[in-house]
Amino acid sequence: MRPSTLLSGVGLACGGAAVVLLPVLTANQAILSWAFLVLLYAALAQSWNLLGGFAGQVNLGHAAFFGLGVLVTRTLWLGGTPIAVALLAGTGAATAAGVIVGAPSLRLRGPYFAIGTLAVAEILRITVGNALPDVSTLPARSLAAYTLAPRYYLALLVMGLVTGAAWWLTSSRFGHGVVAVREDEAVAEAIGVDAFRHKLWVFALSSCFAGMVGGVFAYYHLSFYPALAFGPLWTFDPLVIVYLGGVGTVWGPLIGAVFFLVLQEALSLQVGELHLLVFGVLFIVVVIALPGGFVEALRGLRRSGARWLRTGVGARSQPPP
Amino acid sequence: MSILAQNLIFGALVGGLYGLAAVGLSLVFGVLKMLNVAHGELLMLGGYVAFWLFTLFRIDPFVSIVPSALALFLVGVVLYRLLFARLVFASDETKLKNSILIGFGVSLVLQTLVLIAWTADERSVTTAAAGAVLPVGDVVVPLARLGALAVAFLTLGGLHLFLQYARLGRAIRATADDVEGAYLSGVPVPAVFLMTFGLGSALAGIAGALVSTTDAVSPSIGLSWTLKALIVVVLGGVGHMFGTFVAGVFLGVAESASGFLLGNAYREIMGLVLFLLVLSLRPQGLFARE
Amino acid sequence: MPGSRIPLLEVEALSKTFGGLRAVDRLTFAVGEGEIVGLLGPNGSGKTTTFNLVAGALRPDGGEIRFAGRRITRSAPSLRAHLGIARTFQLVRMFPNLTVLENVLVGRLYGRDRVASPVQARTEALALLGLVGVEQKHDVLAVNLTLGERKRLEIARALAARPRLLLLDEPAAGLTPREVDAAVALFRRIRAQGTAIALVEHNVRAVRALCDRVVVLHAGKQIAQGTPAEVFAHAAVVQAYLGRR
Repeated sequence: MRPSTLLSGVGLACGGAAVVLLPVLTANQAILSWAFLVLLYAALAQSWNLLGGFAGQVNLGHAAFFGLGVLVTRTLWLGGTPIAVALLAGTGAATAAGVIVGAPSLRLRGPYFAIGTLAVAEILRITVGNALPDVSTLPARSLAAYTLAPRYYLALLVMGLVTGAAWWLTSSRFGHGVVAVREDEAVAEAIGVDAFRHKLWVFALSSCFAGMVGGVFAYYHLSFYPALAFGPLWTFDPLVIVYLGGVGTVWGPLIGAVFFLVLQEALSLQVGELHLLVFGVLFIVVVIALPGGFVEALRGLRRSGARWLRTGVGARSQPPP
Repeated sequence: MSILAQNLIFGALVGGLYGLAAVGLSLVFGVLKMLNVAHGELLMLGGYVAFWLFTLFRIDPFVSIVPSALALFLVGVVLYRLLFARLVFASDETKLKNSILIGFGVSLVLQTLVLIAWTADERSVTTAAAGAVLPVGDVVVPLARLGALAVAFLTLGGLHLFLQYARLGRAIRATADDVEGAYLSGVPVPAVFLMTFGLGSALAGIAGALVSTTDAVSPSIGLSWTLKALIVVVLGGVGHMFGTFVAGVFLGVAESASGFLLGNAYREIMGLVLFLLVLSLRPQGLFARE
Repeated sequence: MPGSRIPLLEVEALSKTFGGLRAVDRLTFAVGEGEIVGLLGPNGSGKTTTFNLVAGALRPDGGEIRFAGRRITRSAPSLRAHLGIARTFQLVRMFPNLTVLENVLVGRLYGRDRVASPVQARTEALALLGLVGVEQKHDVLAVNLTLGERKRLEIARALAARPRLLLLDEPAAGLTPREVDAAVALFRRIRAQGTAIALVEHNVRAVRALCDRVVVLHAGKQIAQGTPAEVFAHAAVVQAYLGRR
């Protein structure tokens, strides 16, 4: 094993241990809450990335599936169902919706997939806003028993699962087919990939995880308006995170989420207005100037670093690109 | 019955604006093969131009159409040079996808800038003539809305003549038909792209000024106008001014009818459902060319 | 039809119309097992449309396509690939942001008798890259290849699907004479392994060197058929259709 591999292995293990033990290591609710949000956003971003990054289908209605997960889980849980069952039901509802929405919308060409999914999310947001205008608040008895640690571990679990799904897409036959469809649908079909089936499966997988993340949010949040969970921000934030981190990569969403929340914290942008401005501009810059996101930038750095080491310190001639 | 009739008349009057909002979007889409999903935000800016001109200088919004169009033309040109022009040489698919992504970012940025500058308050223009109505039998026709409809119709007619007979208009049509052919026959395609984007934005500016005469303007109205414009484009077809206008009126009437039948909270949904319905029947859109 | 050969592909009275234009007009031809058949004709005579109909990228308006005795007239392209039809494109198409190796690997994971394991597919894909001579570039993104390399990559990708019939759309277009010779040699080797080939080609030298049989199209109809020698000797009217662009 090369020393650098060993080093990064040890680093990864330490980092992993720190993440797992965080609730034990610190009692600081602010830190734990922040870490929870990193996991939540990373997981939601990754769920968007499965479809948008690996399969290349820009879904502008991701909020719909997140919102369904939130709504179903919250309703059942507050109604007395155990959280595990409620969460599964929320996940199931989002997955089913994914298949129902995906089957017709994935046949759409050009921009209509993006616009069609956006329309679906708007329909749901308006309907939920009309049907459930009241704020959803945890009852007093739940509030008394509320601790962050289980929420944190649940988010960690979901984050692990969805990252595993992304990793599976990079290494399995199915994943190779999905990427081929993204690159050129006609060519993929010509070598035997059933493009529509692949896209539909990934759509289902993506909305399944979006719903699961929504369920975690429902378990975590003290009080919110149901329509808020269907708002376009739940599409926009994951999109920004994915593009910042690196679209279509396994680690991009996690890196992007850490950056997103660090920056948000540093600029204390929770107020919302500046948040959109800063991230909107960053998003445009990344789409135009850095299509691979941070992951690609890091790879580039590593490549030029390796080249620099090979040519030797102090070598005068510029290495060829 | 007269309530329904009143609703339908309102719908038809609003629908003219839908048509106008859609034309700018479809012009840009047809020529540049880019979808500017920030079109609704440009319209919103146009509304603010009219609002401020009225508030500060008492200029009637129907007059503000001109400065609003000019201002938005400039905004469009800047946005194009700064952002969208970078996509010109990408493949068709990438161009479309990235234009949607960039437009998405732009819409959020514009929304937020306006929010910070002028707060989230709903602004409306109340001119002396604002309340005037024209009674027709059992129903009334608000004059401001009728005027907006007339201006929308005239703008579309003017645009049609411009594209048909003006030098630049013909160059725009040639580019929409066949970019390479246009290049080869000496059309300055990059300039045409720039002008088209500016023109599309100016049309949003006109629509925005007209909207301000009858409806409230706030930073968040953009998305719903973009969606309406898209619905109309899908219903009416690209490059047909008259078809777009009719589709706009149709959407307005359909919304009013469903508002009347299902309750006002659901009127927006009708258009979206209609949109999804049309798309699922014709996945490539009603206006796709073979 | 040479009697000794079992027809692998049978096309019968195939028709396709584009907005009033009959691109393919009741076309009938066959390709035997292990045979190399050339489709010739001027531009716009319906050759590429025929290819797209056989590969499944277009649906015919009339007629029938059978492959190994099975009717595939309206089946999806991916099913046809499973049955053993692979193709290249007139304007070379690849998965641009994947490496050369990954481009071929996908074909091995899908297509006819596909393998389940990406690891095994990788080994076999490398071997195919060796066959077409771009193995040293296996780690390069496909978008960075030269035209000649792209064409070879396309063939490797098609072969990765283990086709019984390979459709090649202008495989020699844009190649230097040396590259054309190499391509001809490669196609002979492919056929020697039992794969039938149908090709659209304007390069007369390549057609003469390769094809067992030639079908000449004009305005979507077949106007001549036979060995290359017979067809090229055919009246001057045919010669007119063999325009070299």
